[in-house]
Amino acid sequence: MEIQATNNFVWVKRDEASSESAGLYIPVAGRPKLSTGTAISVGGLTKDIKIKKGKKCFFHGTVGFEVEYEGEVFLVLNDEHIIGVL
Amino acid sequence: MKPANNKIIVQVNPDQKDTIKIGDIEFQSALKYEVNYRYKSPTIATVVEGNDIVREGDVLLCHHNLFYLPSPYHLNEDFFSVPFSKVLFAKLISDGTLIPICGNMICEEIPIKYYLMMPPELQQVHKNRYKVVDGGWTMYKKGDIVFTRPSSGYTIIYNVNGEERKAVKVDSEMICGVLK
Repeated sequence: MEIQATNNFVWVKRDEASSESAGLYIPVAGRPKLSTGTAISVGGLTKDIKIKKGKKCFFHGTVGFEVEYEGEVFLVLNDEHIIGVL
Repeated sequence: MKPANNKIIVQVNPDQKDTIKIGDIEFQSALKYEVNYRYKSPTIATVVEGNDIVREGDVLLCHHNLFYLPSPYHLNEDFFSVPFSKVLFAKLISDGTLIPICGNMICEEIPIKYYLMMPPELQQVHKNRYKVVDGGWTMYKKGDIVFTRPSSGYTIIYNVNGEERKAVKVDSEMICGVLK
């Protein structure tokens, strides 16, 4: 089963911060949330053609909402919330 | 009077939720003292002057805030002028079937799966995913699992022939993903 984004939403798998810092293990709750991720699925009404599936995206830290599905957490953004792609 | 500016005129029975039938016995309900407006406000209206999609005599299921007085849509007596927009959820057929209109969909809540046994009163449903029962005018079909913005589902409470019923409505614009 695969998730297909709709409207102008973009599903992003957020990059994870390193679990180690200066030799110390950082628990999941203490790791910073990065503002980068990989687009997993892009909705059909997305205006910017540069936003495509598999592209690395940059976005502001507090936008969107998270959806959990089968143990994985995805970040769902409006296409306007993406400020850049690689 | 003919409605203009994408409006329709409907007639509403303000006492439609005052009686509840359980089996063959009719009870007087005390819903007017309920604090939850979804329970106490009228939601069913009959079209008096419609358009190409809803005709005179059609029964509509509407948002609970439309007909609670003092309402900005109130004309006089039991008549209201309401916009033909997403506040109109579905057409109600005489057998109780709902046909969603105006980009709305009738959905079903999906219970959360627990690894441990949970008593029924503690079992919860997902707030961001629904199973489509009737997609109406939208591209979604019966049985599709859709993901929405958090808490997009709206539970409508309405009475059909005295029986209290519930349905969950989801606006298609709130859908952010579909399971393929």
